[in-house]
Amino acid sequence: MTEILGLWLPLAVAALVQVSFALGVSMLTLLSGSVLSNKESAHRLRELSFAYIFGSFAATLTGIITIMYCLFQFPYANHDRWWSVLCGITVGAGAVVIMFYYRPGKKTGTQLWLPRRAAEFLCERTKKTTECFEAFILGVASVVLELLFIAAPLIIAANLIINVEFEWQPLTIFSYVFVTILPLVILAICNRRGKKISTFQRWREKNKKFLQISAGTLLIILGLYLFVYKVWGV
Amino acid sequence: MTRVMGKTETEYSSERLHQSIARVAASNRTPLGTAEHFAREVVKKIENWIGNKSEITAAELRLQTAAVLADYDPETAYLYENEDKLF
Repeated sequence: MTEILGLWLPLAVAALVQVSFALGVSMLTLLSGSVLSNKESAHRLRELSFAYIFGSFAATLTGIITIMYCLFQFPYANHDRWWSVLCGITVGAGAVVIMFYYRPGKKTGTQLWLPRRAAEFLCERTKKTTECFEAFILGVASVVLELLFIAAPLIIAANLIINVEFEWQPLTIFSYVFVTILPLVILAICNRRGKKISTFQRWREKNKKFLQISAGTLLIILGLYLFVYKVWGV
Repeated sequence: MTRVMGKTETEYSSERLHQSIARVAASNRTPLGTAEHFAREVVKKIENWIGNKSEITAAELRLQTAAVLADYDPETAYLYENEDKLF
C-alpha cells in the first residue's frame, strides 16, 4: 500500500500530466497533413511518423535517465528539503500551465504559449520535413521545447523511479516513457486508418480548456500530495 | 491589381490561392481530383468577391476563402481557417 501511495500513484499522475501537453501532437498533426498534401505514399507517412515518435521517445528517455543519473549523484534526493523544493516547483508549474499553456483570449485554434515567431518557424520547418532524420529531430525538438512544462513531472518521475528496486527500474522507465508518447502513437495509428486531420484538430480545439485545466490542476495536486506524503510524512 | 496585406505585402495570385486550397484539401484526405475541383470553384467565387478591391488583408482573404470552401467541404474549410493556429 505504501508503495502504491508513495510511488506508483504519483508516478502515474506525472505521466498523465505529461500526456496532456500538446506540442508533440500538434507537430505530428501538421507533419501528417504536410506529407499527405505532397501526394506522398502512406508508407512515407508511416516512416516519418515512426521517426518523429522515436525522436520524442528518445528525447524523453534521455531526459529521464540524465535526471536519474544526476539524482544518483545528489545526496539529498530523498531529503525533505529537496522534496519541498520539487513540490513548490510543481505547484508553480501547474499554475503556469493553467494561465499560459494555451494562448489566453484565442477562442479558435490551439495556439500554444510559444512565441509567434518560434511557432511560425516550427510550422514552416515541419511542413518542409521530408526525411526521416528531420522527423526524428522534430520529435526531439517537441520534447525539448516543452521542457518548461514537462520538467516538473519529469524530475518527479525520475526522483520516484530511483527508489524502485534496481532490476525493475528499466521496465518502469520504459513504461513511463511509453505512456508519455501514447497520444502520438494513437494519432499515428488513426492516420494509418485514414482518419481526417480535421477530426483530431476539432477534438483538440473542443477539449483544449479541459486538457489545460486538468494538466495544471493535476500538477498542483501532485505537488501538494507529495509535499504532504514525503515532507510531512502523513 | 489587388494587394494582399499580411506580414508582407504581396500581389493577389489566383494560382497561389488555388494551390493552397488544393494542398489543404489533400492534407485532409480529400481525393486529389475533388480537391482540385473545390479549389477551382472556390477561386472563381473569391475572384468575384475581390472584384475591384485594390487592397485586402491576408486574414480577410483566409476567412472568406474558408467561408466559401465550407459550402463544398466544411472539414477542409475548418482546417484551412485554422492551419496556422495548430501551435
